[in-house]
Amino acid sequence: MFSRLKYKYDENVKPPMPKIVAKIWTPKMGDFELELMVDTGFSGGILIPYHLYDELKLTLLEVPDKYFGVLPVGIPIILHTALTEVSIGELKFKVHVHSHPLISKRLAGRKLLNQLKILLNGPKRELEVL
Amino acid sequence: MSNLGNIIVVKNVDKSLYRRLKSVASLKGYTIGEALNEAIKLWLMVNEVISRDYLDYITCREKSERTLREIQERYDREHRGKYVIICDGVFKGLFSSEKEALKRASESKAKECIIAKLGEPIREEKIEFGMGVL
Repeated sequence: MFSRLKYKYDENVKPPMPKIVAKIWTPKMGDFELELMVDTGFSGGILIPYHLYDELKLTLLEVPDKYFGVLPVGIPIILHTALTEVSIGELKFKVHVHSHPLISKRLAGRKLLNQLKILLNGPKRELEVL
Repeated sequence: MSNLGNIIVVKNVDKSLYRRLKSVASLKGYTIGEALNEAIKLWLMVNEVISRDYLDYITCREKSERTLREIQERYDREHRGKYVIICDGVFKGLFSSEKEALKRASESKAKECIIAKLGEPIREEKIEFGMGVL
């Protein structure tokens, strides 16, 4: 029987924010564990800072497609995007990992979240993958 | 520049730039202080983060995109469904499966590689960001 995956909210953010832990497959390190903030306002799969994207050699797994966005300060950017395998517990998905030097956050967006059944247990400050 | 508690006086600010900042900030509902903080944050990010290495990577990516267009023109029909790898602008070969292509690309010593499926168009997609992306 599977034990359910539970992740504590990040209490350093006010109010506390749900987070999830995913392993992404990278050319440099194999499986690499990432703590990601859950952000339904982000429409992509995973977003990470460029220094990490470069360090993990995700630049070797890039897709030909163009992904672009507009930062909240109004600056348009073209994202660097790799396609790789992501595992959350026993679940595995092919997910686009996006990046740009102007991005500093590690986020899980709707394209990843929509593949999961998630319970946001606010009072317990806990995210549960069902 | 002088600092009087929370008030900072800055000399030599271009008046026309300041007027534009004031007008755009007001239109967007920002105070001048908030707009300046955003502008300073952005200036720091651009100047601290964008390195020579990053510019090299961008150059390699552009070369790979050009090579991919040539490969698509030449092989798109004949090898439809196969995967192509292009690293730093150099064509590395055609592969029958995505897994094989991913393995080969991940072993490369290049700065960047594009893995594309022949016969499939290059898509463009707009990504939405939440407010806390920076």
